Amino acid sequence: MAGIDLSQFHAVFFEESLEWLDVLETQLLEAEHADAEQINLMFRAAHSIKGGAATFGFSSVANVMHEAETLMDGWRNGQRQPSEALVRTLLKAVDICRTLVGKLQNAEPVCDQDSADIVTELQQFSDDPDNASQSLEPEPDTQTSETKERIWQIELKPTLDLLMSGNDPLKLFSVLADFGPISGKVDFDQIPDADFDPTECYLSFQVELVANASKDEIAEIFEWLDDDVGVTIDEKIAANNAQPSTIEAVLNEPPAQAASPTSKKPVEQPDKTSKAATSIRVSTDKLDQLINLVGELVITQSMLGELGRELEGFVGERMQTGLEQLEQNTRELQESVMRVRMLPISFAFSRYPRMVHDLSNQLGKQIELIIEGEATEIDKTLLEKITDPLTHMVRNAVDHGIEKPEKRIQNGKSEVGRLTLRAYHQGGNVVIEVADDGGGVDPEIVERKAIERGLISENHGLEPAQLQALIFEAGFSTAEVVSDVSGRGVGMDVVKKNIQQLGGQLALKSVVGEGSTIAVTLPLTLSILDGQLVSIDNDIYVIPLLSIVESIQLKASQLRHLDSGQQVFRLRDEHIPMFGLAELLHVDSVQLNVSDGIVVVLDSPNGRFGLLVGELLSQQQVVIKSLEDNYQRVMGLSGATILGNGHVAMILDPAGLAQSARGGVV
Amino acid sequence: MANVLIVDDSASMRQMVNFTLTTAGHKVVEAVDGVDGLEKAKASQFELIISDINMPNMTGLEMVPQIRALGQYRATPILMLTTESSGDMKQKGKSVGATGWIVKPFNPAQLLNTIKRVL
Repeated sequence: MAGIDLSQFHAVFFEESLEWLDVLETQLLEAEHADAEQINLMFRAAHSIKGGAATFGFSSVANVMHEAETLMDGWRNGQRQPSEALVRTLLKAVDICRTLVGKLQNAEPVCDQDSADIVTELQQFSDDPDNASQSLEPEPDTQTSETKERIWQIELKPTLDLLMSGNDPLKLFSVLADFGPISGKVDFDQIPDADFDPTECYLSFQVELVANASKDEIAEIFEWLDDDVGVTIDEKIAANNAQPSTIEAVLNEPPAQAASPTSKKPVEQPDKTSKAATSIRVSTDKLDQLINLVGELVITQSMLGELGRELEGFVGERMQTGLEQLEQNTRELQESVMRVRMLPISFAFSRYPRMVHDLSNQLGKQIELIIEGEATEIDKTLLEKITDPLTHMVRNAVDHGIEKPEKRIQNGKSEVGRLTLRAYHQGGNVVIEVADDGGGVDPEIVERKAIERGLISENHGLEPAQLQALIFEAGFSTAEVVSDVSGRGVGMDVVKKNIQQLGGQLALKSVVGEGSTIAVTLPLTLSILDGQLVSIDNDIYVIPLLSIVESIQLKASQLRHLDSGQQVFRLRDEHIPMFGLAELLHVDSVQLNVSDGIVVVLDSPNGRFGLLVGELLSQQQVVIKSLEDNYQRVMGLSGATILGNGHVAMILDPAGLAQSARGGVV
Repeated sequence: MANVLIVDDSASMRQMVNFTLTTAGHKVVEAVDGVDGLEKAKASQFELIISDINMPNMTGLEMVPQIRALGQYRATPILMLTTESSGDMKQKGKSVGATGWIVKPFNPAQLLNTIKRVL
């Protein structure tokens, strides 16, 4: 059986290890404040990588992770505290392992020497370096050396409950028989006359083995037995001594043929038996091609649909049925394919904790990174294209935005700067914000430099906010010293251009002394949204689930009318304005009384408001289709979607609705 | 041939054990953690359970007593996957009801040799 080719499991191991390394890195960055669970997670990460690496013979990786595991075990037991130097070294170890796994993945040669330095470095942190290096090589197969045969006498006196531990003496003896011929005697003395319990083991055994096995090899077979089970293994030196004076019996199992289940047939058919992996990697090209093809298919299908309607008679009817089915399938296919493209923005965000950690160390700053909304889904293409501009923005915020601790203290701020990465859906857009609580962009400095550089004239007449926005112009750098972190002022203009190329917007909000927020708004033509379906009359609308606070049923008596004509109701301690969805969207044919419908309370940037709808339907994920692309922007709507039954439903934009409602009320 | 349940959060480890045992003619079911393991143990009958110790949601040490408590597994062999460096885990495993242990790293031949002691 040793013939199994382990390399077929390597791909999974590599993928798994890289994931674990990511986990390890993330946790290490928070090591100072790690709770027991996080430490345990780190330990498990190192432990898992080590286990796999050793199993598959990648000792270079296993050696590093063994040291890491030892150190983390110390944290777990409270024997060791994570010092900054240690965390740094462990992060380095993570990097090295990542490289090693990458090399192994590409089938490049890797040897233990590649990780020897980091192993030594890690060992220096270990309390007992002598103990640190154990053999991690897979044990060599026990080879039967051609030494002389020995006669072993093995005595086994089981406890009554032996069988209940899952151990069975007969099976142990059958393994023993693999070493050589065995014979033996069974002692039945302990079998009770009455109250015989078949789950208990009353027998004890004396077995003689002729083999060239060592004592350790034999002892290993019995290692699982509890200490109170008597096992003695002695070598019989002289020939035939006194026989035990007990009832004699020979094991029924024919020892020589108590063959291992393994010797039946050597099977080498990996494909049939190995389980399919739960994920596969597909090149983006293939995916894009698939999406294009599906797009073509949708067009062809709708064309056929038109044609089909012109057909009449029996054939036409059958054609119609077939076409409807085709339409349904095409739509499902399109949605599935689009979903494949969506990835949580955490894919981009996950790189920043490490980057901010390293950068702030390098710059002597203390920075706390806060990440919000990392589950926000964004199209893969957008995600890829936004990563570089984002990276630049983060670097910029760390380098130019957040001040050094001394300066922060001088300005009466906490010495730890705060950098926030935030992503959320707004309307039909994804907004990504990079916010720092640093010095802000000083319009006066910008003005001075801009004039210096000839970007603007002395009497420019620009507002402060317009001046601040000049940092996005080409060739602008406000940092007093050009650092190797953000480089020269070739950054923000490139960022702006990249984002505009994606059809996005970039907005800077900055207050001197308080910090800056750069908000990137990206269109989201392919986005998927968790929606609540509601209806008025026969029309269905989709409300983003995230905006919904709650849904309530109101009696007419609970509504109050303000002088302005605005209706409000009281929800616990809050007065909330209520609008009819039909009125807001100017669906004039519908007259809905509050007692007949349901009020959905929504959150919007302008505060909460109630929206009167007819009925609450199901909740489901919908694919957002842009209205701008197909029609034009409509206030209060962020897009449209095609429902499973083929109907189009408008997706409501709570922020827009609130705005148009306020406009109506005055 | 036996029905075997392998409980491990590492997919590569599961696959390796699964493949080794399947090629040896056993029927293998995989579980990804203690919770999953317990559920699958309840849903079926296994003649051998092999479980990792360190797992999310429910560790092997937490799972084994709960499996033992199910009437159908009172005397079923349960083997824990341990490493040489996690020293007392062998005895901890025994104390919660495991039959024995398999020390990682192991190769397919070693695995098959070891489980012969209980199958």
